Amino acid sequence: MGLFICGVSHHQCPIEIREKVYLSSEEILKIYQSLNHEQIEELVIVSTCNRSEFYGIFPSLDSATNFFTRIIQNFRGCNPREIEPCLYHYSDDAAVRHLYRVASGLDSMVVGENEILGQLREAFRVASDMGTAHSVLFRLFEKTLKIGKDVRTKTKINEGAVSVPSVALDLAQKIFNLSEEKVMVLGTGEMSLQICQGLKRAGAEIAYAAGRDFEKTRRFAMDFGAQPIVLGEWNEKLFETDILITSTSAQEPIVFRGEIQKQMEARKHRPLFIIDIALPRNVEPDVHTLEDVYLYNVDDLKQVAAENVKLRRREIQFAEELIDEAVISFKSWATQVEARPTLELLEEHIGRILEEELSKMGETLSEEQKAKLKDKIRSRILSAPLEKIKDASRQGITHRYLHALRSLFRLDEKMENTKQPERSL
Amino acid sequence: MNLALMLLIASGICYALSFVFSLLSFGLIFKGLREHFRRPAFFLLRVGFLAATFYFAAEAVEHGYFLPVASFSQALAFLSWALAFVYLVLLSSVKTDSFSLVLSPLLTVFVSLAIVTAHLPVKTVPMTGNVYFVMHIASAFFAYAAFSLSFVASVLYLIGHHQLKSKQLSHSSQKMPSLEELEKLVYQSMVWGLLLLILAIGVGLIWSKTVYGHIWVSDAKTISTVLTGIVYGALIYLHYVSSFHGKRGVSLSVLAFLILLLSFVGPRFVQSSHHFVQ
Repeated sequence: MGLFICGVSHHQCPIEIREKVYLSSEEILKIYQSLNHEQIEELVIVSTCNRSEFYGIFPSLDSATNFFTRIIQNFRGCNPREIEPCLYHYSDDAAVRHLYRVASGLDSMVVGENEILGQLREAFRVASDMGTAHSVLFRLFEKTLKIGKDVRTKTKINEGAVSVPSVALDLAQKIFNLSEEKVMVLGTGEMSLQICQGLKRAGAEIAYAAGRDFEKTRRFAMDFGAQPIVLGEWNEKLFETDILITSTSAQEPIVFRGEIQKQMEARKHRPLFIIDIALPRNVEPDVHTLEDVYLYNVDDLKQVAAENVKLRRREIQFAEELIDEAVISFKSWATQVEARPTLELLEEHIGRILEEELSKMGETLSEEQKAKLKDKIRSRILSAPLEKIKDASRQGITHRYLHALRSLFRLDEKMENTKQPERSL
Repeated sequence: MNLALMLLIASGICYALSFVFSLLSFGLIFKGLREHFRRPAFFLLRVGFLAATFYFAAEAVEHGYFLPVASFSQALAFLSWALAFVYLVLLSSVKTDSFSLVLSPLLTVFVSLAIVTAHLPVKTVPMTGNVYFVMHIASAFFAYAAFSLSFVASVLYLIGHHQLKSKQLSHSSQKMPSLEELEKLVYQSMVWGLLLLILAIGVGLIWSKTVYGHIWVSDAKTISTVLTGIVYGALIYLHYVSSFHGKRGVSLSVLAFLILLLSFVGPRFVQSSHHFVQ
C-alpha cells in the first residue's frame, strides 16, 4: 500500500477535457459511498475548474490510475483514452510535494491564488465526514493546510493583484477607504463591469453610468443602482465623483486636462482616481500631471499586474524551501509509522525474553518488582535504537536499520506469523 | 552609569531593533526573511516604551521628585515616551506595520539624542509640584506627540502619493493605509495636538505668573510655540473649514512639524526662561 496521486490539471489538460472530468460534490459523495467494494484504504477527491485529483492509499500505481479513469468513465461518461494523454500521477514523497505545492498556490494558474486552499480544506472536510481520510491522509491534509497557510504568511506569494480589474480595485483602495466613494462609469463594457463589481463589493457606490447606447447604459446602471446619464453630461457630475472609469469607443480623448484642472480646483483637491481602460485612450495622458489626480490607463494597470506576477515568481523559491522542509518532516513521520510494526515486534520479542528469564528467578522478586524491572530493561535496550531510527528517518535510511533489526532478531518470521500490514509511504 | 541611564539606553536599543525588525518584515533588507519579524518589531516597540517608563520612575526615585523635563535630555526622552504612549495606547487602533516603520526610527533618534545629551546640567525649577506646572508639561508633551504622529502620517501619505504618481508601487505600499485614511490621521492628530498646545500655553502662562510673578509673554519658547500653534491652526482651518484636501496640505503639515522641531530645539540657542533651554 502506498500514497498515490492521480489527476488532471490546467497544465496539460485543455478546458474541454477538464469540463468532462469535473466531479460535482454530489458525485464525489457517491464515489465515497461506493468505496466499500474497492481496495482503497483512504481517499480524498479534489475537483475544481482547474484540477481534478484523487489522493489516496492504493495497492499500486496501476490500481490508482485505473481507479481514476474508471470512476471518471462511470460518473462522467468520459472515454479513458481522452484523459490518458493529460493524466499525471505521483507517489510517496513526490505526491506529498505535489499536494503541498497545490496548497501553496505554486501549481495554480495564477501563482499564489488563495482559492485553492479553501477548496482543499473543503475536500478534506468532506472526506473526513465520509470517513475516507484516516491516519495518513488525515495527517497529510492537516500538514497540507498548514503549509498552504505558512507559505502565504511567510512569503509574498499571494501579494499584489494580478489581473486588470483587481489591480484597479487595489489602486482604488490605496487612495480611498471605499466606504462612501462615488464612482462614475463612461462606457459600459465587460471590463468596466468587472471593475465596478469589485469596487461595489469593496464598499464604493456606483453612482453614475454613461454610454452611447442609452438603453444598454440604463440596464448597466440598474444592475448597480446607479443613475444613467447622457455621455455629454459627465463633467457636471464629476464634482461628486471620486473614481472615474472610462471605456468608451471614442476615437479621440473625451476627458481633457483643462476640464479636470477646473474641476480639481472646485473640488479643493479632493483626490480623483481615473481608470482609463479604453483603446484608444479616453483621457488625455497629461491629466496625470495634475496634483491629486491619479490616472491609470490599461497599460499602466497591466504593468502593475506584471510587476506583481514577477514579485510572486520571485517568491516561488522561498515557498519551495518551506515546502522542502515540510516534505522532509512528513517523510520522517511516515517513516516512523512504517517502522512501527517492526519496533513493536522487537519490543514484544525483548519482553518475551525478559518474561522467560525473570520467571526462572521464582519468588525472589514480587510481580510488581518484576514488571518494573522489565520495563526498565526494555526501555534501556530500546532507547538507543529508537533514537537512531528517528535520526535515520530524517535521512531516509530507516529501511537499513529496520532490515538489520528484522534479520538480527529474526523478526521477519514473527511478522509472517502475526501478518501485520506494512505500508510504504 | 546609573540605573536610569541604563534603562534609557535599553529603551533606545529596543526602538532601534524594532526599526531593524520593521525593515526586515517589509523585506527591505534580507529579502528572504520577513513576516516573522513583524511581531518582534511591535514587541520591541512596547518593551522600549516600558523601559522608558521605568527610566522616568528611576529618575524620580533618584531625584526625589518627578520632573521629566529638567534637562534637554529628559525633555527629549519624555517627548519620545509621550509619542510612544499616544501611538501604542491612545491610538492602538491605527497600529500598522508602516507606522512602526516610520515611528521606530523617530523614537530611536529622540532617545539617542537624549542619551548623548544626558551629561548636560539639570536646572532646578521652583514649585515643580504645582498643578499648573504638571498640566503644562503633560499637555505640551502630548501635543508634541500628537504633532509627531501627524508628521508620521504625513510622511506615509507623501510616500504613498509618490508611488501612485510615479506608478512604481513597491511591496511596502501593500501594507500602507489608504491616502484617505492617512490624511484623516494627519488632521485628527493635528487637531488634538493644537488643543493640547493651546492648553499648555494657557496653563504655562498662569504657572509663570504664579511662580515668577509675571507672564512669560516675551520668552523665545513661548513666542515660537504660539507661532507654531498659529501655523497648525491655519492648516486645520484650511482643511476643515475651507475643505482643502490633498498633497499640498499634507506637505505643509511636514513643514509645520519642522517649525515645531525648531520651536522645541531652537530656544536652546537663544535666551529663554524655559528650564531645559540652557
